[in-house]
Amino acid sequence: MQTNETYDDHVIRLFLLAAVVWGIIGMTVGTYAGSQLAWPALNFDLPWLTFSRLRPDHTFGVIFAFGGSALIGTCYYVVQRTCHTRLAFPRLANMTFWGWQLACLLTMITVPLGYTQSKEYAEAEWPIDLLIAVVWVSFGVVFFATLARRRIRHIYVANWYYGAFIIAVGLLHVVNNLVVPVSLTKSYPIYSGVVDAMVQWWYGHNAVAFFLTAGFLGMMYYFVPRQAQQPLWSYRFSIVNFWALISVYMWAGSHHLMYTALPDWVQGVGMVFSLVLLMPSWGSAANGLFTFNGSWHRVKNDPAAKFMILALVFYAASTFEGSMMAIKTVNALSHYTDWTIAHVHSGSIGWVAMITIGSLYAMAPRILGREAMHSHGGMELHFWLHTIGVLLYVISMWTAGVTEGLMWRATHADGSLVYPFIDSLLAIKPLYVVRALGGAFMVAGMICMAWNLWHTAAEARRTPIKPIPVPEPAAIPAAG
Amino acid sequence: MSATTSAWWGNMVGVFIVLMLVSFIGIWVWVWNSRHKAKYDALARLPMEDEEKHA
Repeated sequence: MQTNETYDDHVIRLFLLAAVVWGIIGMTVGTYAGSQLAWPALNFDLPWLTFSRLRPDHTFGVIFAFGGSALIGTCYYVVQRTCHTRLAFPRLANMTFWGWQLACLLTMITVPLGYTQSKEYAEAEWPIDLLIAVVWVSFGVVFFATLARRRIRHIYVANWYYGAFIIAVGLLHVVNNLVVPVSLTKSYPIYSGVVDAMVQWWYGHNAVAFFLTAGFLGMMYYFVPRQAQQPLWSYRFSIVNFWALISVYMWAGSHHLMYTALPDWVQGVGMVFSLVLLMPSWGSAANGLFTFNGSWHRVKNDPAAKFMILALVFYAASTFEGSMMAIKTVNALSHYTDWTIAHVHSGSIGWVAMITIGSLYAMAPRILGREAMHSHGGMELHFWLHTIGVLLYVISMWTAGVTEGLMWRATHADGSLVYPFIDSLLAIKPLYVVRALGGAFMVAGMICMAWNLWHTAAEARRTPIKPIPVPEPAAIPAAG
Repeated sequence: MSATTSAWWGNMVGVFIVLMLVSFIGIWVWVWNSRHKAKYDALARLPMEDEEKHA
């Protein structure tokens, strides 16, 4: 049975294209910035090419341009499929695409030119922040209006995560970017001192929580059962994990400010909530992995499923690591070292990038009117390039981080330092080369993905794509 | 005595912890209620239909 409606996949195709293009750009900038740490001469003494400006360009590019485009695109896909309805306000949805791309482009250009609020993951100056706020509210309107016209009474769990992602990120963005503008390109935050630091890390950690976790869990809860062709292992457990995750994550941000001027009890609160977070984190990872029970044989020949499984393994690993690093005594060793860099990348290129790539490979043929991706071998190649890249990256940075931590804290009996700082830098230099190599592997993988998608879309470029009809809702019991 | 070491604050912390615990256990009891089972089983299969319709 079918309704007379069709799914609106046009805007999703645009977001898919944008995600891959930004993925290549963001990861290339990151690889270049990482290479500068191994070979500092690569900045060529050009201000806009220095590490200090490329680093925020890289983080914005991969988190908001690549990750954001993939999140909004998959969100539009998932909400239509799980509600059996067409996207609400198609024009507004198109506006969110062009508005988001404009905000990304402006930020990616202005940050290297030196225009910055100097707030980590929120560098863009106030006019761009206003644009982001408008786009974000519009995104929320499209999403919740689509939910409102759903034909399936109960809201599927992936939408709960997407909804939490939209509401929380909007709140975080507005509160953290409250500034006093002094010109078009310069502003000052309304907060000062340790309050500014706490607001910044309340924002920063919840950007991890609601952008890089809740949003991508929405993706996971839809695309993992779909790719495994198994029902979600435990729907009930997914609800427990949802409420636990969103009620606990908000309070963990202060673990970024251990051993600072922040009151000790606030640091303690951050540590305790970070440890409790392990439960919903591992709960979702287990729910995703157990969903593959009974279809492990499919995984061998399905690169998209392989991406998803490794993503879940990295999610479990990096959340465990994060909880451990929030313990003050562990943090005393890890803080300000490359261990933090290893941790954030096992989360971002392990969990976030891999669940994204797997989901995009699963979604792309459907919205491009094809049975499968153009090249199965291309996806396999991408999987191995990315996996090798991630392993080179995180293993080298773990080693570098522990080396730095141990060398910095080594003291003689009289309390003087055993090693001058330069010794620790020389000790880890080879590991910086390995990290750059890992980055190059991942960029190569993304280029392979772009090539594959370009060919998958070949037919769609020549002839109009036949829209997919919205099915009649299956009879889902209304009780409860 | 600072605000964080006062008896009032200590009691508030205790009340908050109990409330969090009760709501956490409450959510488990709620979702494991058998009247939701049929609905949840059907929902758990929802993502699979995207493939089935095109297979």
